[in-house]
Amino acid sequence: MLLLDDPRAVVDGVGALGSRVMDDSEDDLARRFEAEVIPLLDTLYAGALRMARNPDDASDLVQETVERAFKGFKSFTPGTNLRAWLFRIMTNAYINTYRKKQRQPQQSSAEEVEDWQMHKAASHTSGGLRSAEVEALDRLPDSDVTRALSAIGEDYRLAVYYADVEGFSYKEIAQIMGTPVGTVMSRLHRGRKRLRELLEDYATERGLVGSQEEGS
Amino acid sequence: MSAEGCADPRGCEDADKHLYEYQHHELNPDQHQRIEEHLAACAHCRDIYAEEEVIRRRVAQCACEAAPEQLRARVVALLATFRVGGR
Repeated sequence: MLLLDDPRAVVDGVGALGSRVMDDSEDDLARRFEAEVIPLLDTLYAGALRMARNPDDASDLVQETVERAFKGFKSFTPGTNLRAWLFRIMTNAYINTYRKKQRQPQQSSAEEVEDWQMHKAASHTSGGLRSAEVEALDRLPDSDVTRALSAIGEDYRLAVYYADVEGFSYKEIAQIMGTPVGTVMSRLHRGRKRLRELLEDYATERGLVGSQEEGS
Repeated sequence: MSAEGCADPRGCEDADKHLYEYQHHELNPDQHQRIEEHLAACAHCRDIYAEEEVIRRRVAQCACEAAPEQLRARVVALLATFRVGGR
């Protein structure tokens, strides 16, 4: 809810004065921020889990994102996509602190690592018993789906998450990830292919699909 | 992918190349319709698309964990400090 025509101008204009006007508008800003951010906590946490991949780091990342976002909230244009804006901040927070801290080499060079994995995907046979595969994918436990998601390269995982879970447009994903739209498309393409490949493997391991590929 | 027996192999190539853009509604109306028509005509590509739809749905369902209560409490406390007097 906007009580002032332009809260930014008011806040900036009296920022150094510490007047009552500033207190009121800061307070209003804080309440508006709170009202908009609290309903997005689950979303932010699920997104953070795709980056940090363990509950403690994901929680820290959400907290840091909220802190950074409030500092920049004056520059956020009301009515534009707050969720996308928050994920952009989270991406930066993650890159600047958590990724450095984690030091997991296979994540920073995700694209290279994926290259050899893709060979397997390329040789995967298609055709025949497709509807059985659809059913098998439907019956996989949720844990297999999240396991497959965390197994693909980080950039792929995030692109898939933003498109398939958050429903962001490619343009929004490009802004969040700080890459051209073409890069988003190739990440999505490769990420989803790899995901399908893994899920099909899991389904086969669990005996959910027919054994026409015995010996492979 | 090339579907054995499909009357329109170039349509299969096209569908394969743009399937995710089609799924995410990123194509222009003409392109979208072209893929839609191909899927209606080609059982092979339709099956592949059905699989991709299941995968998208499963990912959407499984990757939406709720924030732990502890985190929620931490953030609520943090937000309170943003208000006047808090910081």
